[in-house]
Amino acid sequence: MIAPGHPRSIGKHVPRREDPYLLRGEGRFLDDIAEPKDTLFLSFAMSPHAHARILAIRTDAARALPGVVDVYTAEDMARLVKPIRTVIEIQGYRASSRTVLAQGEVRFVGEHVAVVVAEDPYIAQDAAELIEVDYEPLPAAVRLEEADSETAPLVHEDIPRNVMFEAAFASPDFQSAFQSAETIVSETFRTGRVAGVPLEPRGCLALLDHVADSLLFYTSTQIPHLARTALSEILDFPEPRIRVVTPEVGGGFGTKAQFYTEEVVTAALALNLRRPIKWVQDRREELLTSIHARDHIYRLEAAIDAQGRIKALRTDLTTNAGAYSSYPFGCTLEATGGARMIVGPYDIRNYAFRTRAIATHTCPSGAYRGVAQPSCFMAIEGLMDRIGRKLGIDPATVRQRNLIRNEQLPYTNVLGVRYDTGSYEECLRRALERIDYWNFRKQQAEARDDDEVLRGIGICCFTEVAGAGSGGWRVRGLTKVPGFDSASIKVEPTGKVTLLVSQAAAGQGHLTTFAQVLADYLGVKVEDVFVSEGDTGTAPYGTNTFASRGAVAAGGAVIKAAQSLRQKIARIAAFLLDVDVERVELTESKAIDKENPEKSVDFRQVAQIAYSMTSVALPQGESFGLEVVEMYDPPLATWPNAVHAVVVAVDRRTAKVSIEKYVVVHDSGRLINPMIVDGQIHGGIVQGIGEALMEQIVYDEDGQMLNANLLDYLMPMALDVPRIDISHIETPSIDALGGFKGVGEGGVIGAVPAVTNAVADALAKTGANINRLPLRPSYLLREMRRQQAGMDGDRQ
Amino acid sequence: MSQPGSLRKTDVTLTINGKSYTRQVEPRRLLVDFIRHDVGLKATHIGCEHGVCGACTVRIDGRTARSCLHFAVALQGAEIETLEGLSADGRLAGLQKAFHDAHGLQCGYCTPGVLLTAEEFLSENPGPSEQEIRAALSNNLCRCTGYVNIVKAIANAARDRDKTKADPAGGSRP
Amino acid sequence: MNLAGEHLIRSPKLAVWNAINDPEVLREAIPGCQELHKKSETEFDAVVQVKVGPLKANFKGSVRLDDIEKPDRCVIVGEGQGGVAGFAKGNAQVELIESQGATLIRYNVHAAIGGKLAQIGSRVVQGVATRLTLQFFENLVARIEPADARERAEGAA
Repeated sequence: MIAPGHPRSIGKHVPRREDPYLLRGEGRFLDDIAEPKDTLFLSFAMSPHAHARILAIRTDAARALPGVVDVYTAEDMARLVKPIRTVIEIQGYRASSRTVLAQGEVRFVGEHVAVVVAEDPYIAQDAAELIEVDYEPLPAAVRLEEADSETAPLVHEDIPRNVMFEAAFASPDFQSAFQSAETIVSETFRTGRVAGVPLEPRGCLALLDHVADSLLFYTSTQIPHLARTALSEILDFPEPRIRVVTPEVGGGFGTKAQFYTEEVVTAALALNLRRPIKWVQDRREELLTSIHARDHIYRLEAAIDAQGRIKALRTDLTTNAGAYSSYPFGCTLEATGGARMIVGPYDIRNYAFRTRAIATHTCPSGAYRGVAQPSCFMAIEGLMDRIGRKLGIDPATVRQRNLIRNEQLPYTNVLGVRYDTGSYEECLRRALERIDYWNFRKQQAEARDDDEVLRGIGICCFTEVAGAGSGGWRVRGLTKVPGFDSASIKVEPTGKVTLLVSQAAAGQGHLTTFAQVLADYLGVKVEDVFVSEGDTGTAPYGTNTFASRGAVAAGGAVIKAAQSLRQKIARIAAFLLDVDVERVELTESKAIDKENPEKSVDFRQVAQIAYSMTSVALPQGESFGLEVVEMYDPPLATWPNAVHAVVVAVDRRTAKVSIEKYVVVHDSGRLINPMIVDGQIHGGIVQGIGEALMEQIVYDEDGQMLNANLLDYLMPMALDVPRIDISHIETPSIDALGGFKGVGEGGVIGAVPAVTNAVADALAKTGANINRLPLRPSYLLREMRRQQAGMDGDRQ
Repeated sequence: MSQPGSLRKTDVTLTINGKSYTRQVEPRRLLVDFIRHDVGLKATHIGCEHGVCGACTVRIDGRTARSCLHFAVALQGAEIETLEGLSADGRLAGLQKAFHDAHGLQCGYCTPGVLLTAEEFLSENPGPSEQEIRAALSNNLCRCTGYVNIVKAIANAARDRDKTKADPAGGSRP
Repeated sequence: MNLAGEHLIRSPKLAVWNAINDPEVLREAIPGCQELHKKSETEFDAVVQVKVGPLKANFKGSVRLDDIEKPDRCVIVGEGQGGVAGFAKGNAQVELIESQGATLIRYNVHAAIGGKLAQIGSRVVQGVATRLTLQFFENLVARIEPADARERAEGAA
């Protein structure tokens, strides 16, 4: 328990301790690490074809270039490493095997076919350009709709019909409930293909520690521990001899929560050549080879009653897996996520889904911020609006009627998943109030038909699966994702505290927030805590940083470790103070006698005894030192919830969308640092605005990516961003230690559906049916004109 | 394609943060690589290598520019300033404090470029509107903050500069 | 990418046909052409330097004439490998129509590009292709139109 008198750090706007060095430009990102003088550099030769047989690779010219050390092809690498095979223990999954360089066949544009090792990165790149590859181009399955057919070219010979994963579910009474309903509302939603695009591309640096004959591996990742285990298995090199260190990471967003082929190649070549090896990708490589995401088709059918209540819901979800199952989450992550999360905050008792992941000749897809949730909530929230339109009931009212009510909590949803606490009704009520919803509707009704600007309002009510523990990953077959996280606390002999956490931040401010958590739970001053993470050589094992799990999983571990260590501190302090241990309270780096607060010893005095650095001996029965490691396994998941409400104006002539008002009412349980929480929400929302309005990775019909650069892959700039009104409701989790629920992904999850619904609402009176992303002017204009021409909407 | 391996190196001398550096480089050596790898100043980051993201923003002869779009040889004798220089001589102190207070950075990768853009903008636009700040930031991509707190930090810094000017004796916030 | 157009050359049809089958003429007319060899009656090998946006590359390729109806029409099928810059492939349906001693060349090109060319150049490639096509015909005209016909035409204009 936190001492009553201890000044609380949790819940405060504590400025970030990461800032000073980053603001001076002293953050050491991967490419900033000074490499040893004998470092060699890599450059990969990439496939220009989406699908082709490799007939011959000629490397002579590349090898002949002065400064080139060697060139490796798939055959050479096969002697050094195993293929990457993503294990997922779930029915209906067919694993694809991937060699780190393409062997015999290339399956997406950008796939690596050879790698040059050279003394200088410029030379490496020159040499990669001299590698000649003879290809026999083969027909490619590029678009999801085309790959999903009997006649499509196969991406993998051993995966029939390109179905990499397929699963289905129906609740017991689904059929009868669906059939007995009065009305069916159905719609197909098509989401865009996007990517995380962290501003720092990926890269790694492998060094040999010659004394210990071990590998020191720096990589720009969110998953150092999982990467270390993967490296050990794929390289067949003892895990204890691998140390993975994440430097500063310039944005992750899930993109860097995958383990990539280049990491294997870099490490393998360092071991093979016994030289330091460095690889840093450029932006084109980043866009071609870092995981893509979304690209989903949702076919929804809801059986509803006359009040708009959903009596039964059916989802048919198809996701684009890309050419290979990415590691460690594979092609099932989005497919299971979208099908399972879509019921969200709604009281839907009858549900059935079919979900599939289809292989295509495109870059592998993976875990980008929000995973399937921005798309599945775009679908269900789009359906809520359509239910309203069909029945002539306001869509906000439709949602109010379907939400899980407060008195139903804790609530077990139709898939057997428990929501412990939440504030679904209150969030919606407050969001409608803050955006002045009913007045907007009144004004909208009075708008003239020939107005040049069409205004619309969009809502998204959602729950977010966050902080998943081992159960949450097991239930989705992801047995190689442990689910627990850990914390190691050392009160050092000087009384200052080292906190090692099994996480790896990419801008989330962990060095600050975990210090806040520990300060309160250990009774130490926040400035006495030093947090370190991302180094497998020092930090205890854990699941790492993705899926909105940092605060919940590692925060819980910090609390657990603090609770365990404070007992020992209290015992030693009680001995020093000569009082019963029950009378000792820890606060502000001191142990005080509750009944006589003048009497106290500080942590330094306690530590001096624990480390045997004073004339006073350690009390009998105590062990030396003041350190503890604890693992914490969070519940199946924690459930943050929120409502986003958005007003947009669409220029009827140009179809340009302007966001005029943006309201968020957010509940992620107990907040550690509200300033950082708001920052997470802002960033997520703007990525969501990008996903809704402009971002899209474009492949042509041959599988050529047409916008592998930042001029053509449009992301939001400062001018695209509205003012964002955030308010919080704090409903602490009762299932997770500390009551935290996680916050990393909520912004993007709410933004995509809310913006989409607002634009669709604005255009509704033109008759246009907006059901696909991104909402670029060309698409919106086409839909409006189609209606003008009296033609049917595109239901494709 | 350029002919690999046949590029003659030449001596290039640049002044960076007031210090002169001479390095032998190929004609194709980018300024950003000269700064980062030949001189070893790592605050200037590379985000796209095609002049869009602004992470590599530096000052060339007093004006901000993308160091990934310039060849070092073409700048013989030029005066370059990077975040290290501006930070060390205190010119950025107000902005740095404003970014810290307003949580104007997350991963920090775009931050050096943003700071240089903001510094130049504020020196020419002492009392900017929010819209003007947003327009000025069109040179810089940030993927973490959604720009919300960057805009706020720059607005706060502008206000504080104004106060300092009005009241040269005090001005710094408590 | 699709490109269609027509171009009038003030020469008789057969002269135009022969010109576009003559490696010597083609080598001079194709912008950036470094080498061009006749492999057979209907096949050529070529090396062409092309600049698209920031990319400059030598494309090594082959050209084949199909569906030949001399001297009225044919289909030109080509593909070129630009190494790391990517590749281009496509076909052009070409039709020659004679009227009053001049020849109208009508063409309909369908082309696809791949690799780096597509990834960073797709926004500018249509413009480049249009420009190169125009330049090709200008070169061709300069090479085969009789000088007097040109002067007359210019005088009239």
